[in-house]
Amino acid sequence: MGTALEDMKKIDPDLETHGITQEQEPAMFEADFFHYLSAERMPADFRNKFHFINSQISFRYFLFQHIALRNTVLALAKDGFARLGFSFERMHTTPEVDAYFQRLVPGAKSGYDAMKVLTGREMAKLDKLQQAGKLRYTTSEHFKDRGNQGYLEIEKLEDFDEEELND
Amino acid sequence: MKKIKKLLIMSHDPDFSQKVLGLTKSAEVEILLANGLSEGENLMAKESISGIIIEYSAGSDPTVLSGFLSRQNIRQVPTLLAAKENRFLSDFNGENILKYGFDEIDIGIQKLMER
Repeated sequence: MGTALEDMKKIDPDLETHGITQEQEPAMFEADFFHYLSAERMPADFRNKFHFINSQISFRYFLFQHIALRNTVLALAKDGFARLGFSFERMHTTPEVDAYFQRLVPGAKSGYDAMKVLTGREMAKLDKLQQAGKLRYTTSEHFKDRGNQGYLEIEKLEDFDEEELND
Repeated sequence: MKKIKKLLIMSHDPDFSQKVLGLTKSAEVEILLANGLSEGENLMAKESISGIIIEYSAGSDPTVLSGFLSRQNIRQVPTLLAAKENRFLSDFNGENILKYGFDEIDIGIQKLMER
């Protein structure tokens, strides 16, 4: 992620670049701002802030990809564009995590299987927003067959109430 | 005589690489680690690699891996593709390609070593 930010700045020095990370290591790359936080808990002032959001591989390591996706959509500015490598196959599994996901999705065999359901609910919300003309999204082939995993590109056409993404 | 002497592991995930290292310990092969395809390509150009293990993410762009696998110098090398679910690998085929889910990676490595 740090490399991409540095490269973007070289292409256009007028860009304001922000990186979200929990690791200190990417700070070795040049960026205007690094935010040491998790994508599942973004600051309120990120709302409608970013015109381009890119995630190559990070989503797979998150604990709550469905919440990170929701935050990403909220953080996009009007006419902003997000390009996400979206997957969750390296989710942490501990008895506590599995028990938590069992509560969210009763009967799920694992956190991984629960996340297929949870991300499906988020995608249903994006479908509604798309039908309302507020955003447009495209996915890579097999995205839904793979339990909502693959490439996801989102363009925010209109701002909308945060509640439209609430459970 | 054992054919695979130098094995290249390509993954962004240190946990995956560590697991494979543990599973290949007894095979007495030299192991090189690459953090993704670009690093792997560089190593392929410099080293005489006789086996490859690639961890594929469902969130990765499949055309990148397809392009890599189609290269002449890669096609000749026995390659194990691993993904969370074996079915994610359905787009990748070739004479020297083995495909296994993460839960069967030990079997996949064993099969690779037998090539």
